[in-house]
Amino acid sequence: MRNLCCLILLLFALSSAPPLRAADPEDKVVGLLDGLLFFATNDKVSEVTEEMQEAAATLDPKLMADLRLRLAKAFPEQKNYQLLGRHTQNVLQQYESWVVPSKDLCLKIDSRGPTADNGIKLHVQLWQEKKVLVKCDAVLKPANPVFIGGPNWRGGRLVFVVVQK
Amino acid sequence: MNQNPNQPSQEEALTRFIDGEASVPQPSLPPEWLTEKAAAQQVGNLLRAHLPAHQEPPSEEFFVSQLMQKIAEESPQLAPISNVIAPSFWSRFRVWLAPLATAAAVLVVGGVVLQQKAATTEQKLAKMTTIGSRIQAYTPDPKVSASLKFDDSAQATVINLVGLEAVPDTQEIKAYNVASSRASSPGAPQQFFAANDPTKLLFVMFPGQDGAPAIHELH
Repeated sequence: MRNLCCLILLLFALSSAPPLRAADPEDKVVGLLDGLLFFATNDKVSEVTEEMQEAAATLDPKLMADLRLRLAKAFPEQKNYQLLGRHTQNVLQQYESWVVPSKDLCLKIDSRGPTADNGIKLHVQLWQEKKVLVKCDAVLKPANPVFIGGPNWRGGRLVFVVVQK
Repeated sequence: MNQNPNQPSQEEALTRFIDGEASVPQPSLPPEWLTEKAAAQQVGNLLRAHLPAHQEPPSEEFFVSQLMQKIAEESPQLAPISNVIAPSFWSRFRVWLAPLATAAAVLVVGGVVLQQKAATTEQKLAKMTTIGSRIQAYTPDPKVSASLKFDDSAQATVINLVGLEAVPDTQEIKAYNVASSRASSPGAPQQFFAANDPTKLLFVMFPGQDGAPAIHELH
């Protein structure tokens, strides 16, 4: 009986992810967030692309510094955090939003409604090309970003950051 | 059913024919009647040869058993009566026990399979970690696990994915600086423009199989 309950719970959990829905242009915006892809490394990033320069230039320097400090605390194995890409995206009330700072690592977001303290309850899925890496329910607040430690790359690691604006 | 009660029945006619009381024209004889008569004559000969004429059989059962024994002795190609094995306890109940045993086996196998599935379920549920009501996570790849915590020092929710396959060093990470976007109409491909140039279309995203994004780059 207990095993059956566990099976039912798992099926419920797996089916709780919202289905793919096309965006509706009339859908209400419930929030704005930044999806940032960082390369966490202990080495100096020698190659800086045009996109990296643009992403860094458009991000508030104070926010960038603050994020780097926080990332170093959350992932103490790496010292340097190089911003690779950025995507500022509205969160829609009823329909999914895609946050794509990179073709290689992107985030699908569904709103689960606002919180009492100006946050947003989200269902997020981190995708690496055609493969979903993790499905999460998370609460995003202006003061509390979400950090997702992703796959290793070139001696460092890719870290996806979601910040509420 | 005999249509005419005055006419002898088929069985009666056969008995009378065997006993020699009735003579039937040869061409109208059914072939099995001749066989029956020959068998009856053989039995009669056997009885006459082995039983005194003045002695009557003690009982019907004895008569039949003696007769069958003698026939068996005279006909070695037939299986002797003593070789007919009486059904044992097991064979009597085998007919009943077989379906029961099958049902029990199905139940046992089903139970084992269900238990294994439940064990897998528990393993997967174990991967769904919850920190208060703040966050829940699930990793579809069984080799990947997600450790979740609210990091007080970073004041951030941290999802640490462990066991992921590394991105090959030779692969370039294609990054963008993208402005907010939404589809022009429900179901239409979504267009993504550059944050610093609203006229610069960077890529188009199509909904792919199993919800996977299909990105078509333009720049």
